[in-house]
Amino acid sequence: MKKGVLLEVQDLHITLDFDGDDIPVVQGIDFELSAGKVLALVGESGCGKSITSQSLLRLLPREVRISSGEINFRPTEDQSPIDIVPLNKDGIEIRSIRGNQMSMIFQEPMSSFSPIHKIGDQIGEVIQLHLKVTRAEARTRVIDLLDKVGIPDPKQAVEQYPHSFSGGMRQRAMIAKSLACNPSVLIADEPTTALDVTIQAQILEIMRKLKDELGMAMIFITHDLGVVAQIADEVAIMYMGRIVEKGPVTEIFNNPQHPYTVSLLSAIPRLGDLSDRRQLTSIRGSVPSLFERPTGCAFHPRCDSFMPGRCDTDIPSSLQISPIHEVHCFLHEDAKKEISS
Amino acid sequence: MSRLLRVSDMKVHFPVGKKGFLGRPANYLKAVDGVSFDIERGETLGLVGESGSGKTTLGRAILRAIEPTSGEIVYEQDGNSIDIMGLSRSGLRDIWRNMQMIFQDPYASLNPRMTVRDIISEPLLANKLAKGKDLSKQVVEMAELCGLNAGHLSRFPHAFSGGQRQRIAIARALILHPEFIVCDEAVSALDVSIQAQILNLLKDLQAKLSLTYLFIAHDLAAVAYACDRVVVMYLGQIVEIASTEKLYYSPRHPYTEALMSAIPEANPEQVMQPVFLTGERPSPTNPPDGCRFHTRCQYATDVCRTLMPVLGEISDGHMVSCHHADKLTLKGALQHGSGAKSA
Repeated sequence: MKKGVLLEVQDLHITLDFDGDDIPVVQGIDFELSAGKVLALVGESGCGKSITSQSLLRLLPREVRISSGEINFRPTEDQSPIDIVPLNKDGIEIRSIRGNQMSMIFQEPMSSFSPIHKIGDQIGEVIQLHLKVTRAEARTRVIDLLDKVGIPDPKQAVEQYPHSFSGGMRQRAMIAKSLACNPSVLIADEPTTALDVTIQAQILEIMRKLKDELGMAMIFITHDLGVVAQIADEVAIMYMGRIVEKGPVTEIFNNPQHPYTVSLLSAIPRLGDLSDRRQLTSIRGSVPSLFERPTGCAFHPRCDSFMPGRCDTDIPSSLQISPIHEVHCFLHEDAKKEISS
Repeated sequence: MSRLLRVSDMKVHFPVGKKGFLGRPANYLKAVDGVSFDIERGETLGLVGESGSGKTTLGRAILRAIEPTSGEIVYEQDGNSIDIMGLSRSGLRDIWRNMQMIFQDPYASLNPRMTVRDIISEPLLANKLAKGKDLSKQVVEMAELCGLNAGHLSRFPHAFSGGQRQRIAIARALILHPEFIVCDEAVSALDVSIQAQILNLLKDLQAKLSLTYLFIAHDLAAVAYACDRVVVMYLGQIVEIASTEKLYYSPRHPYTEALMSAIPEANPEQVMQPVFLTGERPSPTNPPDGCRFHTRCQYATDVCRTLMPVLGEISDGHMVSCHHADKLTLKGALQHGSGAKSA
């Protein structure tokens, strides 16, 4: 693994077992995550971003499985990486990583807490499970954590039940829970989607602080390009189970190369366009279902630059258009060939 | 522009808690508490606020889909002013031909057992406005106007994606040729690329059919794109009304400031600097005295704690409900910088 990299995903394939047929959900994705960086996985519903994130902790539903690939993880640079893929999904190895060295925040904080246990006990449980501490020590740590994520009066909050927390407070408690054992990698699956814009801003601020102060690495899953622009260092755009474009956030927003990325960026309403009120550029059609995956490049039926006989037959391979910017599209492959010939 | 609708001092209170002495409810949840505003013919009026601010209740109460507790709703039709609160049930049914609604969840708002043709034609049949060939012609025309084709009509909703379902819901809402549509989070559940299609469609239809929209949404960027004017609600009351441009870039109410400065701009070179609200939103069953926002307002003074401000005009068409509106300099949304290259 390269220097600084904590998590490395290589050629990951995930399939859905549907009446004995293996339906591909994720088809060979690669990415790396370095300490202190935020990688955003971006895409519309059905692109496989949530499934990818769940596979990292082996939390996939029963009928979905990793069919091939590697997920190499090391909690710190000094340790040797472990491949998560061959581990038993209920075994001791993955359980000692899950919630401890790598943890996850979900979109719906209400369903992530048990309604019949106190917030403090639920977070304390995680600490006691992974670290050798007493109940009292765990409790002190919970109070610290709740304080860190900005919950007012944390001493009283530990005694409360989830129902008495508002949506924003619950999401903060969820973050506190995921931080309980100082994970080196945090996976956040649409953590702000269900929240109001003012609360969203607060949560983003907390997450940015965690990154800066604790050097935590994060995978941030979202469809909101505004949030991506504000929090991510690296961006991977996904479409139907493949990464179509990947690069640093400024590069993706200022110099998008894949037709899908270009259309996504022009499809979002932007405040700056208030005066000219142009039509939004929409992408025609919609994301096909998993069972009707187009041949070749999955985006070709919706693409304005579609080249018949090429995009609908072959799958574009990864193309490094600059040392930091990767795109999967024949437009660029052909352009490159012309230059070299 | 002429006025289409005037809402005056509308209140929607829901009884909550155990019934006490003489069967009176212990308390009321004041979802909408004294709201007045106008909607101009042909405009798109945005309605924003946090969840629980009463925006959906207000949208429904205007149509009397939820019965308002008190207040006045006056609808202007062909030079006559119609008092909607005074209408009987049958009078309401007639006026509803002019006022329709589009909902957030296109999966829940369409009957799964009806074909698209049946769904779109139902309003015409229910009002006995068309039958036979004429019905079929109207349905096909409306479906095509909303971007569906005749082949779609015999299929059931499950065969469609979210965006297409929303087109079906729009066709159903428009089949009676209404003038006024309440769009309640109509694009919130859709993916980015589909959201753009529906926003564009709503705009096209507005131009073709001279529609007026009340656009309720929490996505402030979509509201900025879709709306001419915007109303901001907090805890059941209106805190500010202004043209979109003024409201976003020069808000006059501290709550609007908090909303606008928290919009994540899709430009990595412009880091947002949100004005954070302190504390939690008070419960609408027990709103604070004075200005409802004072518990979370960094500019609050003694007068805010005791005296409720009234919504007043501060400049042309810009209404704000704040004691200190003329003294405060507030932050708006990020202006578009030069760094962003649009694709």
